Amino acid sequence: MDVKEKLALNRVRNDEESHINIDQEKCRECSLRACLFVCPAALYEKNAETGEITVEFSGCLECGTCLIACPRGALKWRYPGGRFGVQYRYG
Amino acid sequence: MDQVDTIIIGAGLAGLACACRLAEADPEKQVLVLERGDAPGAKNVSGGRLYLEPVRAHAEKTAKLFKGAPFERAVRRETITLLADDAATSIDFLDEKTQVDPPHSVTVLRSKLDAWLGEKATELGAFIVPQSRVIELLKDGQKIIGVKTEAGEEIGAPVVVAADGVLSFMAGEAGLREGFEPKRYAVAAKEILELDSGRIEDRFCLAENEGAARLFAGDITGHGLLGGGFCYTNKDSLSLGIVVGIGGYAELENGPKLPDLFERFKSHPEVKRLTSGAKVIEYAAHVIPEAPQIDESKLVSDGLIVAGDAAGFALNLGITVRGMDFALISGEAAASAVIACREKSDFSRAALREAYVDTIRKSVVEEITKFSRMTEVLSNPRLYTDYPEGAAEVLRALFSVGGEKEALYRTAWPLIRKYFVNWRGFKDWWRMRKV
Ligand SMILES: Cc1cc2nc3c(=O)[nH]c(=O)nc-3n(C[C@H](O)[C@H](O)[C@H](O)COP(=O)(O)OP(=O)(O)OC[C@H]3O[C@@H](n4cnc5c(N)ncnc54)[C@H](O)[C@@H]3O)c2cc1C
Ligand code: SF4
Ligand code: SF4
Repeated sequence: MDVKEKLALNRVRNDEESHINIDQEKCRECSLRACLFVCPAALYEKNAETGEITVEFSGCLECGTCLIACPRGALKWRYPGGRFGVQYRYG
Repeated sequence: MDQVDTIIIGAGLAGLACACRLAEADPEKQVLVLERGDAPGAKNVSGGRLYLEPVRAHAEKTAKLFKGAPFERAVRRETITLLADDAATSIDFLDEKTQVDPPHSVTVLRSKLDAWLGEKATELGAFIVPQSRVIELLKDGQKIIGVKTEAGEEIGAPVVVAADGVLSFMAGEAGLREGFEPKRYAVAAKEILELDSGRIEDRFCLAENEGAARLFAGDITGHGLLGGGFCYTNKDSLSLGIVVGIGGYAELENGPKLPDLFERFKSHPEVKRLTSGAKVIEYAAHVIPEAPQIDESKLVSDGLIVAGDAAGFALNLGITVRGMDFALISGEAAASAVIACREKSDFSRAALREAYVDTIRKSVVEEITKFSRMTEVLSNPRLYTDYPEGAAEVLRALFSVGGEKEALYRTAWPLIRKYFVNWRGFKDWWRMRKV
């Protein structure tokens, strides 16, 4: 089962504003690119044309793994606003 | 600035145990719980098996509240499975002596359990505000004097309890945690799979309402990384997940994607048989504190107590995870410390430290440090590669009949020597002894 299909099962209320901000300057010098594989929701991608790192924040499971794994401190990460984000029905 | 008697940040098990105890002890004192989710539990994830025995021993008042709690199943069958590439070796333990009433351990779903405990706290007189994210601790010099919420409200209190979970930005704000060291955390991904109770009981060989805890070791990641898997039976669903230490994982070049690791685990022949026909109904992820070295001086600050995952109170031994019991115990202990310090009107760091840390030293701090060497041992890649393969090969040789089969001893011994009885095996065994 594809992770996108799994994420579609979750109850989520999306904010318009991203709770994750990426400092592209730092990413350019990053060779590890851990964010591209550690995210349990596979939300990070490298834009093929610009080489920029993007995150599809609306599927975020709010685990914080990307924040912990990023070796260069490129992420400004906070929890989504009170009314937003994933709301687990089972947990 | 509005003033209350105690502010608790986070309505997880630590925050709620604290709220219940405080409200019960003195209904005249206001207990305010701020929770960012829609309701208590909406943001929380565990494996989850809750060990009740330590809670009964060290958080008596909380354990009493748990009468009638929405537990899923009382665990009676324990199975540890070593996964090799296409084989599985299990040790299965069914024990009629396992206590099920009251249970030794139970499976739980946090969304249900936390919501229920939240109602208890409310009945007892605590006030829980959902959808309310704390963004800042208010300080007067070094002293914590209240919180600021995202809505811009500033609320003061003589003491604040940070029970905001593993990422605890609040402990960070108070200077009690510096940054996030990858090797101190593990990432977990988990599916909830719907399966009717009859099939669960048949499939896992359980009597009615009994539960099974299945833990998986072996090469869960395919890269010899520190990690494990779990499958717990709920009433009519399964909790299936993997846990991977972030330290080694994040350093891989072009590492495997976590969702792919999950699918790899799920498609193992053994796991496939457990989950066949079950429908995925939720996908969750969360981080677990790993290899915590608990620094007693970092558990309180002037006007602040840190409890539960926020304080790093968890023990992830790869195949067993404890954290919920520590959350409940430390939550109740935080409340007792607030009560004791209130009597003396002294919420200074020194007073809180004495009242709080002394209470949880044996039940939590020492319990965790005792096993802290364990992660070192568990980081040994051979545990995840050679040993499961070895077990499978030895058993394969023993169970297969036909062909040019030699005597049992001649078949098994070379394999055992290859995988286990050698110098490396001796060193591993020696290290294990020290744990
Ligand atoms: C996959 C997995 C498997 C596990 N398995 C087990 C197991 O089998 N047994 C076991 O005992 N433990 C297990 N654990 C560990 C256990 O889940 C945790 O130790 C436990 O949940 C800690 O409880 P807590 O109350 O400290 O934190 P949490 O449950 O994380 O609660 C923190 C609360 O604070 C809220 N919050 C955070 N920040 C803010 C803010 N700024 N403002 C307002 N609210 C905020 C959150 O929304 C949340 O409700 C597992 C963990 C995981 C991830
Ligand atoms: S790991 Fe951090 S620095 Fe590297 S690409 Fe990802 S976000 Fe950027
Ligand atoms: S917090 Fe977790 S789910 Fe969200 S982007 Fe980071 S790693 Fe992915």
